[in-house]
Amino acid sequence: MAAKKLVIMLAVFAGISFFLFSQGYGEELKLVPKKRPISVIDSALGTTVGTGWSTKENPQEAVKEAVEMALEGKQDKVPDFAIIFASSGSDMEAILSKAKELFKNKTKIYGGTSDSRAVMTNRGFAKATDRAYEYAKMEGKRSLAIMTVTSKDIVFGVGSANFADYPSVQEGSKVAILNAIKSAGKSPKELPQAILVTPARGLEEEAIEGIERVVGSHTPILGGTPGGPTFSVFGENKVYEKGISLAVIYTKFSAGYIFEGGFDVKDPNTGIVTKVDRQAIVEIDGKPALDVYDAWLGGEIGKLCKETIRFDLVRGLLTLHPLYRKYTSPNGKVYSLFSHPWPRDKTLVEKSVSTSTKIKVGERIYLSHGTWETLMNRVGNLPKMAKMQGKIDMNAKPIFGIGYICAGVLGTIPETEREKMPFLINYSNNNAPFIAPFTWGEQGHFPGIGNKHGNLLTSFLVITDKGQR
Amino acid sequence: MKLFRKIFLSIFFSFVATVSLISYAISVRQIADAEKSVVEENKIIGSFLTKEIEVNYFENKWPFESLKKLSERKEVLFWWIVRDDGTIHLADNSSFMETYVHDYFPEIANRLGKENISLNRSQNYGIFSTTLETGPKKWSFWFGFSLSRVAERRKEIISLITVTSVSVLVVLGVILYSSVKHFTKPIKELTTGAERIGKGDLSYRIRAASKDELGQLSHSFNKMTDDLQKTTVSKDYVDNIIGNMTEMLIVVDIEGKIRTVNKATLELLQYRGEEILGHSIEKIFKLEDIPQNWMEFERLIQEDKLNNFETHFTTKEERRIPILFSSSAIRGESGHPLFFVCTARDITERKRAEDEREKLVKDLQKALAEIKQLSGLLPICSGCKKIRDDKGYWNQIEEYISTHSEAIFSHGLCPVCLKKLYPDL
Repeated sequence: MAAKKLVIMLAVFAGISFFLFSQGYGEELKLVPKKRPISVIDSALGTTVGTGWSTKENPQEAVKEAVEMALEGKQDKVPDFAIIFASSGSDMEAILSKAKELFKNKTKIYGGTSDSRAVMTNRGFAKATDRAYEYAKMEGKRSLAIMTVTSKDIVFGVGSANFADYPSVQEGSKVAILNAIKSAGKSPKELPQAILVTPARGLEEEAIEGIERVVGSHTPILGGTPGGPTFSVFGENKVYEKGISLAVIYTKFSAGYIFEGGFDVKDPNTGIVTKVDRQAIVEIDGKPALDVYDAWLGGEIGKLCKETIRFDLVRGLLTLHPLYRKYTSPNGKVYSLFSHPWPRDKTLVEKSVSTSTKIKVGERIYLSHGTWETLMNRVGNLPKMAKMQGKIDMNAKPIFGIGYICAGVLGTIPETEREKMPFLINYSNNNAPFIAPFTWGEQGHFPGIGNKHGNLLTSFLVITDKGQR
Repeated sequence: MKLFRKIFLSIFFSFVATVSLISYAISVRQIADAEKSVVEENKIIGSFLTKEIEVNYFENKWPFESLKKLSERKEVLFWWIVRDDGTIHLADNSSFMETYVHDYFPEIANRLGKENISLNRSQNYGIFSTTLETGPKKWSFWFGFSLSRVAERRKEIISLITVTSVSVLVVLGVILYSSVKHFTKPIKELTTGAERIGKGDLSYRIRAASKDELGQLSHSFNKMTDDLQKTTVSKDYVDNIIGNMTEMLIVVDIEGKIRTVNKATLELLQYRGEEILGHSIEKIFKLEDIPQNWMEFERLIQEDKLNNFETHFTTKEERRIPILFSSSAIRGESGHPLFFVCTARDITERKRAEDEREKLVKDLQKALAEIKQLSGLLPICSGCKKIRDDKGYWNQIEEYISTHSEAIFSHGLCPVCLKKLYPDL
């Protein structure tokens, strides 16, 4: 009897303990994101801009979805101008065909491939896949983005060229720019406010040279090499793998642009290029370029190559340690033109450093450093810096923005962080519409110096009808 | 409830209550410490990141690397950098970007200050929130952290404290059991002794081991028992006597209920003890066996004047047994009778002997009466053998004897007479 009471007492004790201690610390917090307020695109009077995207695998469906999104709520269903970028591996012919069909063959179309991983607009990061390079061909995951503009104040012209049809890249580019100017209803003497280009990979410098033969070196050319691993650009009626797609912009509105890398340029390591082979540096200061570059990095390349068989990791590391050339404008401002270096020979026997840029013998190159953080910040601030360069009021809302962001930069940014980029750009761009492909080389303009091609850079153009300082 | 159980359960309940309170207090303190530690840790992280964000803000940068590391912390539920209008500018999860902080935590958003920590234990989280030094437009930095570590620690503490408390209670219980057993043992012995002595066993002695008050009490008890033994006839002795009495003994209380009977009574009346103990005396002593009225009978009993009163007891089988009944009262201090001690002797044999004697006397008397009828001097004629009666008449002897006795004559001839009268025959 007593034992029973004792057991009951202990059970009561345990029960009270459990009750007392079970108070508090319940279910974990589960936050559900609320619906975002609808962003009202209050374009400038006389100009309507729309953006859309799709990740549908079927190219026709993807174009249809993106176009419908871009033109939602707009009266004119046939815009004057459309920029279309689709992730590498997409059926570009089908995309062009469908777009032309939807736009009744009246809209001027410019664009090409973005990196296989994504394209981006103010509506978000349209992710195709996390994987780059050859994997993209196999996965069948696609994304597409479009920006449409209809304006009585901005005139667009588009031109293209298949380099195979011309004696030189320069000549093909010259024809393309002339066609674009003509398409805008202008004469070659009327210089556009800006030129958007998407030239074939490895031929960027020659393409710029051809364009500059028509518009000179003071007309800003902003662009990006098509994203890979398969590359193509839109012509008027065809898709070119080795060609150029470009657009000219004529407007009385203000334009601001930026072309920069955002890397830390304080490293003292520097050398003179003493031997080159196309887009590769063979020697620096008379020594094998790879040895010199590896020495600057404290032997990291050799160490990494021994540790991994994944060459993309080596490239990934070197993305954050680009080589650059310095250009000083007449007013004394120094610009850095970055190149993405990596061993041309995966076995490291041949000690050239490929840069995807044509660095000339005698040019001084420098070592720079970066982190994904600095690169992400740079992406977020692009519109702000473009406005600053264009002396546009920081609070002025652009009519639209066009950006070219290096796919190498994208690769350094952790996957979990990539989706933040459009939000950062939106804030900096005052929630104006924008489109930004991820490119495998960037072209831009250094004021007072001219147009250049580089890597690991970003170009961004904003057009605004207000707020010029 | 036994004294041991009372003492044990009372003290043990106190132990349980005390241990519970101490356990609860320790647990609360431990959990509070664990919570404080988590809060402090997150506050330090929050402060550090706040400074980093503030420094970077003016350079148009965000410390993404540090913020990503924050996201990777297991305990961190979210982090937000919020604009002055409440819009989430940056978040670990981009799905929250450009939504309003007021939609999630309006109370915290409305009282935003410097380095606040808000805890929500029911939902197991804490929130560090602070305004940022971002010029006139005050942005803010928020991050939510899980209190799961506290919850886990709490579980550990509860388990540990519960196991410890139960163990302590078991140990205390065992110690208490032994102690109470030790201390109540003399009392139990005293109780047993009192019961035994109460039943008349004056030979019982308590083993007094201790020298404390209980030991002294045991000594006193034993001494008292010694004294009693010397001065008192033991109950056993009395029981022995009563048990061995050949006469019946019945003790009746003032209400007429039988309180004690001896073996001889039970055997004679063929009852078992429990069949008559507590029952009325009338069960064995029927009213018809009382010659006087009952009141008179009671009076005689109460005045101790009932002595060797001849009556009957009735057995279980309703057989009446003649007895010789005597009674005397046991009186209280006031002189009023408390009990009546009744003794009865079975006189069945005596009664039978008496009956037989009476019958014999009667038979003798009758015989004597008959013998007297033919006795005395009868005047008989020497010749004719006639007998003169009291009236002077002479009667044939046959006639006389037939008249004065039951004898009847049958006439015949004896051989002598026959020969004499009928010599020819």
